[in-house]
Amino acid sequence: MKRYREMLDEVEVDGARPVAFRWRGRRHEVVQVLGHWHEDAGWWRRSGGAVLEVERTDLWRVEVTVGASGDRGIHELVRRGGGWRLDRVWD
Amino acid sequence: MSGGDAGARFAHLSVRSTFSLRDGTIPPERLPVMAAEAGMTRVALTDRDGLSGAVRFVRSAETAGVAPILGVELGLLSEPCDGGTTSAAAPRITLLARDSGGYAALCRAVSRAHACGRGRPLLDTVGIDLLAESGRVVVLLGVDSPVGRSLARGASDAAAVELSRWRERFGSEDTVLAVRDHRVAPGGRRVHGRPDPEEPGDDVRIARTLALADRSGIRAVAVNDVRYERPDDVIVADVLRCMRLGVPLAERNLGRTTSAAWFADPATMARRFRERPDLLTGAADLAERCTAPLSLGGIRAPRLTGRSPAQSAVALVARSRAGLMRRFGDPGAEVLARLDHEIAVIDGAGLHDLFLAVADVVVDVQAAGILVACRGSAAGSLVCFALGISDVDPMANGLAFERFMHPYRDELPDIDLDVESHRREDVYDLVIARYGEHRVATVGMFETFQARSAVRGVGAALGLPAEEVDHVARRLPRLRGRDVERALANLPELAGSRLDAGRLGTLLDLVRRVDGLPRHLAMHPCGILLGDDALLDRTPVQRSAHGYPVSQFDKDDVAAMGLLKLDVLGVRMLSAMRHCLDLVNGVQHEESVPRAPTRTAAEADVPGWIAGPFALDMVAHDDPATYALIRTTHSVGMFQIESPGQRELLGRLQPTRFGDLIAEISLFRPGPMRADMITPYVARRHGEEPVRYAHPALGPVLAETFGVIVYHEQVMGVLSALTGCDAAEADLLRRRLGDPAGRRFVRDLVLERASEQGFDHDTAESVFEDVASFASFGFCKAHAAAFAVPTERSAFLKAHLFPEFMAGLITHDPGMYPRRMLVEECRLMGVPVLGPDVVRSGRHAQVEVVDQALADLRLGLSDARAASAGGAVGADVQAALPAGWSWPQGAADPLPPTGRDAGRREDGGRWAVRLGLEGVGGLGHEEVDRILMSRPFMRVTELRDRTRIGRDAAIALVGSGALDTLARVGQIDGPRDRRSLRLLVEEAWALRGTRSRGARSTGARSRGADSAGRGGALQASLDIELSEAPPALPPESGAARVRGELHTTGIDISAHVVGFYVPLLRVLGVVHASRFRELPAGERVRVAGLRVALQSPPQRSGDRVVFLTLDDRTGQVQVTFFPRALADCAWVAREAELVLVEGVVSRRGRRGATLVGRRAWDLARLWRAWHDGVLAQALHERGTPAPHLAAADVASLAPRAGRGAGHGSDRSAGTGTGSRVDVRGGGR
Repeated sequence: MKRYREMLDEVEVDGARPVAFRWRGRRHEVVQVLGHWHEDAGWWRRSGGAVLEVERTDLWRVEVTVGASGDRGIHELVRRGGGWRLDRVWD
Repeated sequence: MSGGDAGARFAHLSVRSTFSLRDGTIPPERLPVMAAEAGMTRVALTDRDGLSGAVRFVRSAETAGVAPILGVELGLLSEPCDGGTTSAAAPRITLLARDSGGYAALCRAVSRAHACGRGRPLLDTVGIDLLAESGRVVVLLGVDSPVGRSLARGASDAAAVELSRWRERFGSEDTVLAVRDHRVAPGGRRVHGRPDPEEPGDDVRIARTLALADRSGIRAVAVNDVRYERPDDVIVADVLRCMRLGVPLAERNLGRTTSAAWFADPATMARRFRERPDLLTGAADLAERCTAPLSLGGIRAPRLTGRSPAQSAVALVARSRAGLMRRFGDPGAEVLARLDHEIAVIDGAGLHDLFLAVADVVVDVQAAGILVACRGSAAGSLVCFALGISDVDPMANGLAFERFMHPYRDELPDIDLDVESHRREDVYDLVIARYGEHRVATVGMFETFQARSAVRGVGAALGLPAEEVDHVARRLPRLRGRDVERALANLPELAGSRLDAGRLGTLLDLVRRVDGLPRHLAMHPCGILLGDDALLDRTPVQRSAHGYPVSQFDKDDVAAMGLLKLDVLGVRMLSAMRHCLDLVNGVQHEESVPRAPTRTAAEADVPGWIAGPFALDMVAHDDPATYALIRTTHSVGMFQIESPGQRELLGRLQPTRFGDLIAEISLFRPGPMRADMITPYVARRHGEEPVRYAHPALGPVLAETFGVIVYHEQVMGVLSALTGCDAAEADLLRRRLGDPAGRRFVRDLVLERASEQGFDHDTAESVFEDVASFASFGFCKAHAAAFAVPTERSAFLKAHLFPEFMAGLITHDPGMYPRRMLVEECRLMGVPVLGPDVVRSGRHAQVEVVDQALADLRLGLSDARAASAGGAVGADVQAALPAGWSWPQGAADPLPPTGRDAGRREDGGRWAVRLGLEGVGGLGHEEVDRILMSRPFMRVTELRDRTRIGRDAAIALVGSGALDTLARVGQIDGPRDRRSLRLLVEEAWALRGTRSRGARSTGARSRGADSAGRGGALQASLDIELSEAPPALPPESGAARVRGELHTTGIDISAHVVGFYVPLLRVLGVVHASRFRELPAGERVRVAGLRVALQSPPQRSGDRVVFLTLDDRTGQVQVTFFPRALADCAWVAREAELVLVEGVVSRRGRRGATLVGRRAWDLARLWRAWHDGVLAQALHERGTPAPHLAAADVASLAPRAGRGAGHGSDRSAGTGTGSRVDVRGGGR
């Protein structure tokens, strides 16, 4: 398992569910969703008088096929606010 | 509600409310409303460790049309309870009551869990067995249950075995697996703060649970373990949790990673369990198996005495009749008829046991030597009088039984007992001893988050710097959290906070959100539940810090449940009166030294005291000397009538008998004050205004109050005269006058019936309007009469046993005035107060007989006495007397400022009050014990070595003057003053270690070091060796000495602080309080003194009027500030200790003279201005000085007043609010 924490620009979704994304120049297609969880925390860190609200984070563990090679892997995607991030990869 | 699943059948079976105490944010009364809004017909309340929210929840559910289910969530102890240590991470289960039997089982289980360990309630295996045996309880096994934990570990077989154990006990139907989907990721559920990679995510957890359900045939249902209403409210839950655990807000401390534990509607739950809709249906089905757990309303008359109802009825009649014989000799037909009437009503309600039980309690309390008095409307009952519960004759005083109880009221009557405050727990012990632990519990009371506690708690959780949080918290007045932001806007000093606006904003937003939430279950200060063997089926109990059983319900809850409550209020005045009696009779009480009686029946001239020890029931009504004293308005220390406003009213009313005190107490209430009923009452009483009745039929009802409606009983009487109804119905009508609809109803009824009673329509209408407007603020006469008993008795003690009574007051401090004011009251009556003394003092204040010379010295009379003995007369003697004193022609002694000399004795000696050692701040209870046990001492070093008291305590003793006698301060062979003594004592205590190691050689050297002169004498008196000769100190000033006394005891013992300002007061042309009454109305004068009381009672006009009492060592002056003057004067009146007021003399009534204040100044500030030569400018100052100036003035000026480190400090002068536990005089 490797940790990355890299932002993803191109993520295709079906509703909330990720369908495909591009990472390090290669297109990854989601074959199967293995797990979908939440993580909501850290609301107290925002100071400056911002309205206190919980920011929701979605964790998606998905099985993907990578590019044209067809290699398979398990990737963990994180969505916070509008942005997507790749956190972990199991080869 | 939206979406296709809106109709999903579902009920939340696991919900925490705010009564999970810092672990839930939904008020229990809100829960059914939320359920109804979400389309649910049933909902459960399953608080952590308790059922405190049950009554509110069930009541609200009835209104909301939702079926309530009661349950509880408890931690488990694996072994049978042995009171040993327990783990905070114990597994937990949720239990649901299927019916009222199940509720009883839950109550018992909760009590049992709390009995296992205070603050760590855990249910043992025996408790689980008892629950299972009830057959009325469903056990829900969820994520935190032993089964859930095994499944999380992947130990499916172990989980199956564990589950089968629960099934064996509770049966297949009542054992249920609970699954929840909070979408928690693997490893997300942190155990002990760390992510555990082995922890499965919720998806895996659910899959394993459902697999176990299939395999074992046990039903699974969906739950959500709800803790808050909407997802965003998780913020509040997080804050509460971190405050509860005392940890900062950080992910590792939250015990959650998602915000899914909200009150999800059925549609959301259906989406979460899309693949298993049967789990939702299962929850709804289980909810339907649970019915009506708790019935509310109605009277439940517990079998308290163990007698059958018939036996109780016979016993009550017999005891009541015997009691009447004792009270009246021959009661007579009228009294017996009233008794029969009351007994008939009691028969109807089946409440014989209540009266018998309370009478038993009263007997027990009296037998334990504790003073007890009945409070409230129970004084209107002849049965209570006969049984000795009340000491007021209801018939002689015109008190209505129906105001207390009657057949139409379906609530239990309240009987409230006042007892000596410092022995209240002894009374609890007596009640528990008589009825047994399983039938008695104290009523609970929830402490809630208030502004200060919330700021501190939230600030700590947010990790804000402690000193900054403290800065904010300390500057907040005591107010509710939701008012905090407004308060901040008005508190410029908060601008100096170093918290940035954002963080302050976050803090305040959270403070607002936790405002008012219950945080802690405490013992109600006076309520005791009396029940029978079924009590613990109705309420769970837990232990107070002192080991008393406390119901998890508060007073409103227990009233709704129809539980019988006895209020036992601690009243300090009763403690003070007991102290007085003990001194008079020589009863040894909490003193290690035997004590002789101060007086005997034979020598004392006390009316009613013929022989034996003096007792309060010897006090007869209407004693002339007592009322003469009351009429002088020197009522400081008298129960209920000592406040400035009361004293003014006494002056106008001029009471002569017990009934006048009842009127006085009733009139001095916000309602009558606002309606100004006092003016016509006083005018008619003194014949200055004719007494008129709207109709002759009202004469008998209103004659005692000269046609003014004062009492509830009179409202009842007038309604009865108008309608011809009986007293019981009249009381119902009176109660309906409170709301507009009821008022219209009563009006129609009155007008309909009045003509039959001989009233014409117009008269009836105007009489009704009078009654209706007075009904809301009239006072229950029985209440006032019950209060008037201790009022009259305390006045009697002050009139006849003055020094002993004052010693009691000084010891227990029952009233609204600070102790130093009580000491001043002694001086004003010619009784000197002697400081604490390690040689002579007891623990508490006592009475001593001193010779005239000492008394003269302490009262400041020595010069005048010498002048008089030297042949001086008239003005020469007068000039030598202290302010306010006079020497009448031919009298042997001078007359104190009050005109009453209570210090004179037949044998030529004088009474004096000696302060106790417990009054010395910095001296602990144990240290006082050691001093009392180690006496006598010959030297200070003996005291040091035998008592082993600390240096700080010794220094406090020096400052208070308690070592003056032992160290021979001011004598030829002793230190010159306390300042010198203090140096010696510091040295002596510093040498303590060396002394004990080499005592013999040091002693030898001490004797050998024969230094000549004063140094040697000092050493002799202290028996210590000095490292060097004492430095030549400037002599200690009188002001410094008094400051030391104030600092250690809160009392200016050796001289009045105002005395130090005399030169300035002469310049300012100030009038003495003792001369104030002789001044003509309208005269413009200045008075000055120490602020001893400040009041701002509500006024008819709604204006704010401030009453200030100043004491200037010749007496007190009442100052009234009307709204016009407040802009200039309010700040000074509130903040300054020493106040100069300029105003106009106002006279109302015979004795009432007050000063209407126009201007006010801080005397200490003027003093400094005078010394700086800017007095004229200072006299031009008005209003509120800048804050920094105010603080500096208080700190820098010579004699600072009234701020002792001892007893004075925790009670600021004149607010009149006692501690929560003790009731000080006032009504409720």
